[in-house]
Amino acid sequence: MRKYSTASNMFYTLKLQTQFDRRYPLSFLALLGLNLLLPVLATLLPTAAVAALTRGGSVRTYMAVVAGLMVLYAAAAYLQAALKARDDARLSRFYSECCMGLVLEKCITMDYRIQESPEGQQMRSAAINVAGNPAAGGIHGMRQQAVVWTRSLLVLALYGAAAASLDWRILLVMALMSAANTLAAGLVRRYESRTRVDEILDRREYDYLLDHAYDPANGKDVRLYRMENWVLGVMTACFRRRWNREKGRFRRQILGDCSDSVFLVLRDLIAYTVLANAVLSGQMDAAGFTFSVSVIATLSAHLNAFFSTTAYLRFINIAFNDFRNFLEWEDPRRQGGERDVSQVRRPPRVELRNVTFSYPGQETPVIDQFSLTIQPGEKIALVGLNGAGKTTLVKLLSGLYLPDSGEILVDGAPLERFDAGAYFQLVGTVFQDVTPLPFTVGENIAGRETYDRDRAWKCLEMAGLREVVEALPRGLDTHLTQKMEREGVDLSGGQKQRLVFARALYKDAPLLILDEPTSALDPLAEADLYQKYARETADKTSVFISHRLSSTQFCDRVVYMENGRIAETGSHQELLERGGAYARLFQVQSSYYRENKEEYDEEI
Amino acid sequence: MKKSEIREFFRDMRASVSVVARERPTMLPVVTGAALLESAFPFVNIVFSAWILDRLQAGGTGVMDLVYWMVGLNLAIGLGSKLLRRYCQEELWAANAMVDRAIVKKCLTMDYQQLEDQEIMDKKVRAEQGCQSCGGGDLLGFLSELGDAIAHGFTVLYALITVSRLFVRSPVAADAPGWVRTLNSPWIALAVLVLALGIPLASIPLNLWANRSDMEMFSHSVDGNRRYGALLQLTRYPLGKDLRTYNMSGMVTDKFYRTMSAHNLQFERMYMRSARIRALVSVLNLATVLAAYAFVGLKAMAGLITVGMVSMQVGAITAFAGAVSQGVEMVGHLDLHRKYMREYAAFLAVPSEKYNGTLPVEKRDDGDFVLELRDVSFRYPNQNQWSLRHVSCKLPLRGKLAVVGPNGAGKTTFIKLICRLYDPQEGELLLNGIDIRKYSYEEYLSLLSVVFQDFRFFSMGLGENVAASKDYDPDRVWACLEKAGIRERVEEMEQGLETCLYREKHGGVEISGGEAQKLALARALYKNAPVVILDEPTSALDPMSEYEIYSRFGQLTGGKTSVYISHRMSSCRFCDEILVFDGGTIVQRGSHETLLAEEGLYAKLWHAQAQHYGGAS
Repeated sequence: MRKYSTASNMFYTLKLQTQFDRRYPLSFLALLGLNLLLPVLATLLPTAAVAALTRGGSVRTYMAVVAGLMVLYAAAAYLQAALKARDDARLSRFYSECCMGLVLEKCITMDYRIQESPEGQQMRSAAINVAGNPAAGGIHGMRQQAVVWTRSLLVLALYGAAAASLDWRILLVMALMSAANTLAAGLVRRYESRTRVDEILDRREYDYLLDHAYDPANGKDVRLYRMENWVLGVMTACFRRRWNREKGRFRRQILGDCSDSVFLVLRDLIAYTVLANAVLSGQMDAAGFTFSVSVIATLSAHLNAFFSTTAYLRFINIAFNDFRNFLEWEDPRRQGGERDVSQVRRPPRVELRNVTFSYPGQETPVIDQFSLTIQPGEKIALVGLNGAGKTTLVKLLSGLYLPDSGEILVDGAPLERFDAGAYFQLVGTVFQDVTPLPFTVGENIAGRETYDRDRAWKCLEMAGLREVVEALPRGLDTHLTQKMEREGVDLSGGQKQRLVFARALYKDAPLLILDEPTSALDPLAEADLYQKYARETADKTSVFISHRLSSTQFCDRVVYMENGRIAETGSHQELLERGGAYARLFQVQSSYYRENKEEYDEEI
Repeated sequence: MKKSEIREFFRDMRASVSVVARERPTMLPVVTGAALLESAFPFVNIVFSAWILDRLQAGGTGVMDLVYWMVGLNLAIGLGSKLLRRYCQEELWAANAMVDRAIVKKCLTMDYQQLEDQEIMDKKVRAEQGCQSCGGGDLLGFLSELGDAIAHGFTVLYALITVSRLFVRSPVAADAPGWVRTLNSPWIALAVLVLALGIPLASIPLNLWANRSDMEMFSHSVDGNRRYGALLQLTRYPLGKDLRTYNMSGMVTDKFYRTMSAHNLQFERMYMRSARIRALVSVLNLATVLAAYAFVGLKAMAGLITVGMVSMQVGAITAFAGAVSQGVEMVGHLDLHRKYMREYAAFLAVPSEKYNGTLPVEKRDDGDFVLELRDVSFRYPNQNQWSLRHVSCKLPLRGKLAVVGPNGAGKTTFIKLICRLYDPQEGELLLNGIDIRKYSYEEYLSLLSVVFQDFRFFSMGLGENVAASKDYDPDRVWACLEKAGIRERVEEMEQGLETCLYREKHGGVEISGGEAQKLALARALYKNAPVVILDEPTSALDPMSEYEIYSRFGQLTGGKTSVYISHRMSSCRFCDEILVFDGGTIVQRGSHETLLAEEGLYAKLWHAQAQHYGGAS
């Protein structure tokens, strides 16, 4: 993980917003100018008034000076407020649209293995927190404070010069004050750095609990098993940890508060002594005194603002790097490989050579020295017990994972030689966990917003979902779930499976991979899907995983997996005759379907 | 604001304040104390620097005493207010968690049907967004604004004490010109104060306009924020597989940018409108400052007050006008907050629509319960089609019951009605002859252990998940894991029962669909209820695990009543009775043998599967 300095990240944020909004630098400068003008006018007004009074001006001059400055101030104040409002609105658009968009894009395009890994998920939630949660500082704070910080810096330079011309000791006290302030802020920052990881984890847990308590999907189990006290208890414990951490932070901030207060006393003692002597010795008049008092007050107000902003920016910066590092996370996959997917022969031959794969932190590989050649157009039934590695093999075949060792050759070329994104064009997949996107039915099938509607209907028909979709209020344009559109509908488990089957048909990819596509279908629908599968995959290379062994009869070859290796392979009939593990498995499942009761009882 | 609204405002404010006073008793005194000190802080300099200037012009005797007093007071007040402020922040943090907790509790305990009711859940979303929009979430925002409002009140008080000097007539020479005499009149001072009070009060309609605009903005943003949330869900990894293999990232990002940009542009327009109105109000208030300069300056020119007094009085009048104006704005904010908090309160107070009886459930060891459905019809909210239509049956909850039928036949709905997650629109369900609504719901649920098709676990400890509680009996959990056939897998985990499920939590373990089903079964067994209902409990299990569960089913449920829903027709083999659902009603009922002999749906379903296993077709 790279650590960027606060200045670098501030600049990065401003640059990012400029890319998003070309005119942004202009509005930044205008706002900065007005922010600078306002304190100057606020100092000039009382000074000019006292000058007009004490230097024997007429009533008219006094009124003209005061009214003139006042009107100028009012105009500047209104402009500043209007510009600030626009800046705020633009800023909220910048972080929620541009920055969150970048995080979203990164999440859905980065290497899947990284996205899925615990680090990937942790980085994801950290990046979202920086980009989309103004309460945590993040992008919003970095950008907003950048204006405040720059303004304070400029005011400091201007007023610092004025104060120095009175007495250098005033500046010395202020310098000491800043040194003490920085030390105290450092203490707070060290504490924050130390507790940051714990805080991230706890915040994640807290947010998780909030999200999931609201989620109707958990509602049934929560009620049936009376989980409310358990969940609330965990939430309270999590809150207490966070609160104690927060208290620790507040206590440390008190030190900074104390040092500030003490130095302010010193500053005022020196300043007023100097000013009093100057007035009494006749070097300064009442107007000069008023001006100097105002200069010193403004100077320390901005000094405070400068320190608190600097401390806050540095605090934000600790987490800010999460965002930048996440976006800059390097993709291990090859971009723009030399192998062109359009040249792959259809249906392709797929060959796995000594493929080994293991998940991080696990000693035994899930896929262990796995070798298999799938002939063009061959239909493979992949069977095995839970945990045999079938689903992992599916992820390898579909290009989501790259093997740790060994290689996967598609039409003779290793997977790594294809462009990572382009390779996906070759595969049609149905994964075990079926979650439609909260978009329209048609968009879910086609994967894009403009698509061939006739083809979508045809695929729905083949998947046995046409009637259901026709009955929906807006047909193909009906949204799924109410998340995006209120009038969206929910599909049942079986309907969702048909939907993703229709999606795979629509894609018409040469390599079809189905992982448990019938688990939620009723027997009639299941039998129907088997037939369609056999018909639709005639010209495709395909892999079919199912615990319902009846499905293997539609496949050319059965591959029986055990512990990440092939234990048996052959046609259904061959394997039955061999009488090995597969035959036993089939026997067990078919025993229930034996015709008469005696036979069934015997089996059991 | 109408009178009734004002009454309402005070009633709601009192209600919120008394909640805070009860839950965090030190909070209000500390907020008030901090306000008292914070608003005093600027007056120390306003008053003392004027006195110092006057003393200097008068020759400078004793000027340093004034300086010492000033810095001393600054130190005490500054330090005191900062310490109190930190304490407030701490307390506010806790107050906020209190609101979170109340809402979560409501979500966990409200009627299941209400949880799916978009209208009710919108109340919560509106309240949440509203509160966050006006400065900090929920109570946090309310309390810090309440603190500010109190501070403005004190500022007005300090300012009035300071300007009281203007109401005292100065001795005037007898030959002074008329304008000097006029300026000396307390009525002019009163006129300036009335102006300082009048402009903010006159701008109340403008403030209300801005507030209405804000309200409008946030009711508009409910939809936008819901979509934003939905799109962000797509960044979670389980969807990542589909998004990649179907190359849908382009569509997702297009939709994201389009949705956000539409939402944001509308937000920007409305935000700018209220911001401009507020800017106008603050500029209008500058007229007071101008009047103060004119009045006080002329008074000084006339020699009625000293030059030092000018800056002091202008400072005080400006502070006065500022406090009144911000106070008025603050009342508007508090009013907004109150309205948002009412949404919260409304959400928390959503009454249960479910009739909850008081009858205890008969605790029978023999599990001899009879469940009867009398002409039950049910359709889901917002749906035209009946999911169950005129279902009547009498089910002695004894032995093993299988429920089969095509997708969408109403099997799962049937279970949900039995669990009273919904009440039917027509007809009634009876347990041992008594309407199930008359039983205490808590007691009634204690009869049922259910594994739903779409069961869920929390990303917390495995043992806690099985027991659905923080405290659990490890031996019993292990026994249930054993029965469900997943003991060995859990034993392999480094942290055993303490292992956290899912990678949502750091160090959590991902489990497969099959393992999750076994865990769900273990959870149902741990509950040890007399009736066990399993909806597709083996759909993700391999044939061996399924066989184990089938063959040990009797032992598993320990002679309890069990209801088994499955698409695997094989499961009917070990059940005593089978209900066949189709199109929302029960079409067949009987044992496997009798049903198979009938020419009906059951035989069709059976043969569709059996043909592949060498059974007759």
